[in-house]
Amino acid sequence: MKNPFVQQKSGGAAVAVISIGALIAGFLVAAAVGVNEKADTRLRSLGGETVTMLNDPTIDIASKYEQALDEIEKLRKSNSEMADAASKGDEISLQLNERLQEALQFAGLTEAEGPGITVTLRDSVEPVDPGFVIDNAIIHDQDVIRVVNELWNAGAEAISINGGRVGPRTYVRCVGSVVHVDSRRFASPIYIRAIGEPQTLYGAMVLPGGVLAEIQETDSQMVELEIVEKHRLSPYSGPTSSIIATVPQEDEE
Amino acid sequence: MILIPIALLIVGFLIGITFRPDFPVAWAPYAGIAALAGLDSVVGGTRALLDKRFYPEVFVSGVLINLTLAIGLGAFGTLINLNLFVAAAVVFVWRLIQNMGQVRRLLLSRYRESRGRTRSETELESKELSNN
Repeated sequence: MKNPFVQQKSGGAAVAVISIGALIAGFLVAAAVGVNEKADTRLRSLGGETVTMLNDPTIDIASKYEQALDEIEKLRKSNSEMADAASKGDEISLQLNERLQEALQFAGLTEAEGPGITVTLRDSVEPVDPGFVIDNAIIHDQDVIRVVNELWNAGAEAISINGGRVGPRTYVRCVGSVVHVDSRRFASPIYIRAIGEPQTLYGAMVLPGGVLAEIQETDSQMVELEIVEKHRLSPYSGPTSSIIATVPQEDEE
Repeated sequence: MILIPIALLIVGFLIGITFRPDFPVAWAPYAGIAALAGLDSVVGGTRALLDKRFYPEVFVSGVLINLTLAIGLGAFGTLINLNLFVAAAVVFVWRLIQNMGQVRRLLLSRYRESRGRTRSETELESKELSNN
């Protein structure tokens, strides 16, 4: 009896076998193209921001306009309140205190409390493979800066990095093996806490092609997101005095 | 006949592009060598088919073993800190070009044969007509 396998298949059967092979080969080529495209994106560190902007479906001028109108309304109201207080005299100190508190809160000099998210960035613990840029496995200052920037963009009202509040003069910088935030040194993991509308912040973080997506392409373990019902952020603790900059006295008015 | 594998190669590519299999970036060299091994097998199989030496078990085992060997060698290369991906790629591309050349030659000779045959057939037909 003939072995059914060891005989020459001609015509249809042979073409079918080769065709299946061709289908798989085509798929493999496409997969290789896809993987290499992905390897490229992380190397272009500025590309991601452009991608994020292009992918962002929420560029919404109408809501910005409405927000501005609200702001004008609020300023007019506070203006008239101030005028009222000034006329009454004894209420003026109360008003001033309120304004001071507002300014302090905006500058991050008070404690802040509210719902938000926590973003945890970690160095990759995956073994290093060839064709793999080791730099990508490490959390850099620019990753932290971009996450913070993205959070502000998504409407965060207060942010802290590993417990250090982000103030008006906060800087983030890579020095040697650690990340400096306002001259405090942090190594991985880095916890970024933000107060704001949690769903919006979360959505901004998981945006396809966004900041975190880029980091996660290297290793999904490098990023962790958590929605927090109530954060309590400590105040900015860095120096607040100005030596060079002064407030102009607008006597000309 | 030869167009069916080519069409399916393109279909496979389109499927891959549409569904975007989510591989880690570290797999990039393995994906590349797997793609080359697949192409090499398909072109080799086509050549054998045209040569009337096509055995499916040779083809299937060739696909599987070449793929595993290439990926295994690549992995071994990373172990001993040598880039064997390039070595495998060179061999595959060399074979690819050789087999492509063979396929082209076989197809051309076939085309020439078929033209010759049709001419003689028509000559026969015309002779039969004149006899009647």
